[in-house]
Amino acid sequence: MTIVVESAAPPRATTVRRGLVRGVLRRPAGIAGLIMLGLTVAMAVFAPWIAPYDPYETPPVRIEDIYQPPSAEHPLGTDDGGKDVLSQLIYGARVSLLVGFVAAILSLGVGSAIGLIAGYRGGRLGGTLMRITDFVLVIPALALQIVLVAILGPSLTTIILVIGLLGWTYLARLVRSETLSLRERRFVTRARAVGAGDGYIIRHHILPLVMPLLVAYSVLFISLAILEESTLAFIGLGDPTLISWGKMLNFAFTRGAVSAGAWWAFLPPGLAIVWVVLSLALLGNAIEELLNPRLKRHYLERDRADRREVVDRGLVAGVLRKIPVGGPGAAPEPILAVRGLTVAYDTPDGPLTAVRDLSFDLHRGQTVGLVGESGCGKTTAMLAIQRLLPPEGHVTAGAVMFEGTDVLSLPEDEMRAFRWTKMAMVFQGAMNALNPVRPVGQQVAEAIRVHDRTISGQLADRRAAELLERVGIGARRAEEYPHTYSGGMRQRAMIALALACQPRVIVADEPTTALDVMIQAQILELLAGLTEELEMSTILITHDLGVVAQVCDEVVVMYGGRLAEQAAAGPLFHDPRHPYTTALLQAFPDAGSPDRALHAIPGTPPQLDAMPAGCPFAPRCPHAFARCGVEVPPAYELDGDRRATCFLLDPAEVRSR
Amino acid sequence: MTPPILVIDRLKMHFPGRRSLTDSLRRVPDNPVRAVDGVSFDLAPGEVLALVGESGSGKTTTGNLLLGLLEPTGGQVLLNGEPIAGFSRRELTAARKRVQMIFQDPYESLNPRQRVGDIVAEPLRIHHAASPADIRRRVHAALGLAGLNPPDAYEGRLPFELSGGQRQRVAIAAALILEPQVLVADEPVSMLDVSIRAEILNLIRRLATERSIAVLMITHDLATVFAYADRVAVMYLGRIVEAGPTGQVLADPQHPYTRALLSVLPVADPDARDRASQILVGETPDPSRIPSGCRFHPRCPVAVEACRTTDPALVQVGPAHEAACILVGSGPIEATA
Amino acid sequence: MVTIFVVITFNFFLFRVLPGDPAKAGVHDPRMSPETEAALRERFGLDKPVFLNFEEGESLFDSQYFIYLGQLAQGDLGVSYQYRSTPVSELLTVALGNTLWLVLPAQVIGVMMGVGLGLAAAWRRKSAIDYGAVAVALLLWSLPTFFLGLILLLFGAGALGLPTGGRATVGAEFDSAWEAFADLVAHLILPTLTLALVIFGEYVVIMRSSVLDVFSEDYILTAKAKGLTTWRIIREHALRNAMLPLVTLIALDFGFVVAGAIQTEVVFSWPGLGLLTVTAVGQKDYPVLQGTFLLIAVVVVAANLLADLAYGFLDPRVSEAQHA
Repeated sequence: MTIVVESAAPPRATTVRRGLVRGVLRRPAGIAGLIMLGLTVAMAVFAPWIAPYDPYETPPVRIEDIYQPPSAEHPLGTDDGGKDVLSQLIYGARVSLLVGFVAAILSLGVGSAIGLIAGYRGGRLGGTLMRITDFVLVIPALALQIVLVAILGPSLTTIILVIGLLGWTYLARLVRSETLSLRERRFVTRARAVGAGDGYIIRHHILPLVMPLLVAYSVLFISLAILEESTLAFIGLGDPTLISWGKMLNFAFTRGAVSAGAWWAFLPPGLAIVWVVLSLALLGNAIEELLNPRLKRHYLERDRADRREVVDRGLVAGVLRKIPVGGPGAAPEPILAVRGLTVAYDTPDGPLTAVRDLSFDLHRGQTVGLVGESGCGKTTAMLAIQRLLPPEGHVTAGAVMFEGTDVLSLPEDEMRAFRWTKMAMVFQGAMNALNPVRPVGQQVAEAIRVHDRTISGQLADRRAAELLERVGIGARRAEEYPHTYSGGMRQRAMIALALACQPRVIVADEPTTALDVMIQAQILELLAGLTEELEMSTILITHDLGVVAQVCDEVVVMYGGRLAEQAAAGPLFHDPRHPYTTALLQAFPDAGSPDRALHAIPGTPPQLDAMPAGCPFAPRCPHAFARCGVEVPPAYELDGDRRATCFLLDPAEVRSR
Repeated sequence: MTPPILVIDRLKMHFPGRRSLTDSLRRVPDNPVRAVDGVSFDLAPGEVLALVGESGSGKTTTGNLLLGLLEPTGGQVLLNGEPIAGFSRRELTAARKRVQMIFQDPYESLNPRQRVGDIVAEPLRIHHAASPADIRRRVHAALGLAGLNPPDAYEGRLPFELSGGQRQRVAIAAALILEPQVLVADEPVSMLDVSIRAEILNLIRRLATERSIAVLMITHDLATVFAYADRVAVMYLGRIVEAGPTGQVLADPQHPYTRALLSVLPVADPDARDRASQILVGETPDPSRIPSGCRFHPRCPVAVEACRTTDPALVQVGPAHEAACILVGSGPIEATA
Repeated sequence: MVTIFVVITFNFFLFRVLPGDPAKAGVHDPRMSPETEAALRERFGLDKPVFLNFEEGESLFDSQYFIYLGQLAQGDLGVSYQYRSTPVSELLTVALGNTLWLVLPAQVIGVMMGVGLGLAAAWRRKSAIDYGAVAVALLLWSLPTFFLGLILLLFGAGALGLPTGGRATVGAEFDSAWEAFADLVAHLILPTLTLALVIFGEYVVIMRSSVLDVFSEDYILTAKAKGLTTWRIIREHALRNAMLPLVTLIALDFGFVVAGAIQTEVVFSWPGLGLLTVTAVGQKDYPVLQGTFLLIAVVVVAANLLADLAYGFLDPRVSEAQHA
């Protein structure tokens, strides 16, 4: 599962973990929020110096002062008591922010403490705490606040306490579930096995990881508290001795400002609340985006325009005709021909090429293995030929010919008809590839019906059941949901799904990874048997050379997004030509010769954003020489319909040695 | 031979079965999950024992029992001849220093917000075992031992800056820092790319030999065992069904389950594709519904009538080689097939 | 069920035990003679022990709490101080009806529009629709409901000539039921719009992030690979999964809607539960306050129970877990 994410998604920038503050400052919304909030805080702090009048002074009310429109003397006019609105507005910020911050701290403290205890301790104590939380959570907060403030009397302390002590429930639930999952993480288990106490684990492993959540929620809580305070004040439950925005609105509303048309008496305080809450919301959004980046995948985004550099179809077809990959002696017409396929991902730092200049053929009835370490572009290449790349990815060059059709230039509706009927895919991680809320049989039947409207629903259901039967799942389990299946069963269901429209080609992406050895063998046997029986061609993506040796006719070894070597299975295993293939074979435990020592390949595969200048394998290659570091080796055609991209095979180099 | 440092004696771990209210009302008998159902083996210093089994075989639970993360429901674990069940709190803490572990997933087993130096130093800090200067020195030594050289280049990094192999080395360094006598490695390479598995396995093997650490390697993959384990124990549904020196078990497997497992192992030769592999039908049953008699009989290709009723014990089939099958020792298995 | 019982008990203690003793305050009046007060206290049962009666010869349950429970069981919530002769239950029934007139259409309109725009925003991520939807949602979140109401009130009354408050035009005589209904609708437009906008803003955000989560699931890729049209993928595979978290939220958010309703009712003088609560606060009419709070709490708790049931029905994984 992780492997699919790594290889199919654009590479993650290695700088994900920047400081929170710096991250917020990099986002326009974050900066705007901070500035807006900063201004408000400054206004509250410096109120006595900024405000033109002291709103707490009560001069005798003169009739002509009441509801005066804005003037030079009173920039925002006067209220029902003849007092300056602007001064009240400035002083009002103090109450709003004070209530907001203090109540938020209360909520955070209570919520995180209860969440931590309930999540970490569990058991009876945790259960009781969660029951209390759930109870408080469902009580409508405003109604309870009104009742409590009404009973206890509206003082500032009461208001802060009431708001703060009612707002923690949601956070407590979040912290609890976060703690619960953290508690099961391996590094916590490790610390516990080493002998760490609860206090140590909470301090060092739980709190630091819960912290970002608290930061994000503190912002939300402040804005909620400000909104709640203003609401209470508006309905007449504000502290009678203090000026707040809510109370200004209350006075304006109850003392006829609306009917008097005195917009200046209620628009400014209302907009002030909007201003503060908006600033916090912008800030919160920036933090949220930072902590929970959703730039991930989005499978339904519109297809981008075709960005291939090679657009001349004639040229594409010509390339195809002139240079058959397998050499002149190869079988006449491949069912699938990939030529010069190049795929790039858009990233904030510019495009990164994940697959470069990949060519291979798939013939009728053949099984081609696509082999390489994770991140070498196997999955990306296969998604590209089916036009299933995530929106950040696009084919920048190359052609994919399926029985003479250029797949990459098919119009959208023809592409839809092409999918699953010509080429189907067995995805890695069948748990995630099946919809959890639909019965398995229905998902198979859907594929059948979508591509053949003449088939009745009943018939499709029956066929789906037959297919499930055929892959070794009882037909009666067609009604069941994926989560009731075991891992092996789900993979079988995935195969049944792929067979639904009798495709010519099946692409199987790591179909046996994460399965037990015996189940792996079962699945491979099933897949091999079915493809032979139904005369399908298969592309098998795998990192496991054992699987390749077992089922593949032809092998394409990829490294760093490029072809390393391509050969028939026998010659590849017995006489590898590319140093990478040799190294892979030496790292692979062979049951045929169990006593052979294994040799790991030193170093790690190159990151897409740090691709070596020359041959991508050069830094790890025991045979690399000067040329390998500067020049990219082309694919050398070798005897026996095979190719490899290594300068050791350059006739010129061979002669000079 | 050196006396064993760790002795596992008829260890059992039965988890209470999940029962719904209606089950209790209908007095449906309680079906405990028999995750570990009488497992015995021992482990000598410098020795690598591979505990091999599929998911549901109880191998990971066995590992957790050794680490004291679970309280066994039967049997005992003896460390240096003393049962750890009888340990006081202080003794248990001391015992934990002697038994360390490495987990399967190096992405999961490191705290993403801790720096490498802190991860490795953590066991020392928990045990207040050293002064700050001493901690730094020992962290460097452990990093070096785990092959992360030079240590200065690694101690300030965060896990996400490391490759999978490097992360697993960090986990190994953290396990080594308390100079343990026993190392439990739970699937140490299954999440790593094939190309770098050998380096981690080589490292573990070398540590065992050079520092006389007893290693219990838990794995589902017999292939990783070949060159690295001295002995192999194959588990099926909570029991060891076959155990013996690696070479002997591989060359002459006795239990039908071991034979089947070996037969499906990959061979790097496409020409050997047609070799007879015994793919077992079905999946490992639920450990709360262990079949009667021999627990393997429903899937066994050579089962006979008696297998339904007889629960076979481990019997000697060669020097230090045991198997639990009523057909072993009574002639070649093929004859009954 | 347990929760509802806890709510009832909580409600009792809230009003009897907290400092300030509102129940006594309702009876106490400085002009009253001690005798009258004692008589009144006896009439309201305030002379009895609060929880359990340990006095000899008395039943253990002859206490304020059990009398309260007994009265509650008969639907007796006492009489209002403010309107001396009117039973609280009667006031509540009328007010609840009015609140439902406001809340139900607002909830339906708000949720439907929010879900629609949220879906569109997620589908066309990073488009004008998306940015617009997020901006609108942010703005609506930042507007206090009562302030939004005030603005609409000013605008609606001024530019559109809609009634500004109440439930019906005062003193108006209607020739037909239809006219009366039209008058009611005219009074409903502004408050409903206010509440619907608030709900709408919230659901845009929730639906957008929920849909974005679903769109990144592998089974959506499977559906696309199967050759389904985008619309079919959304309808058959994305919508149901994306709506699952919303089902719980719709109920959890009932409290939020109640808060919105209270504010809206105050601004537009809509004679519902919210306005009744707020006037009761002003008049220190504790029996009414107690009744409204109890009713609101019970309704919200019941809505949550319904949501749990609905979720179990919609998500096969949950219902399996409950059976296991």
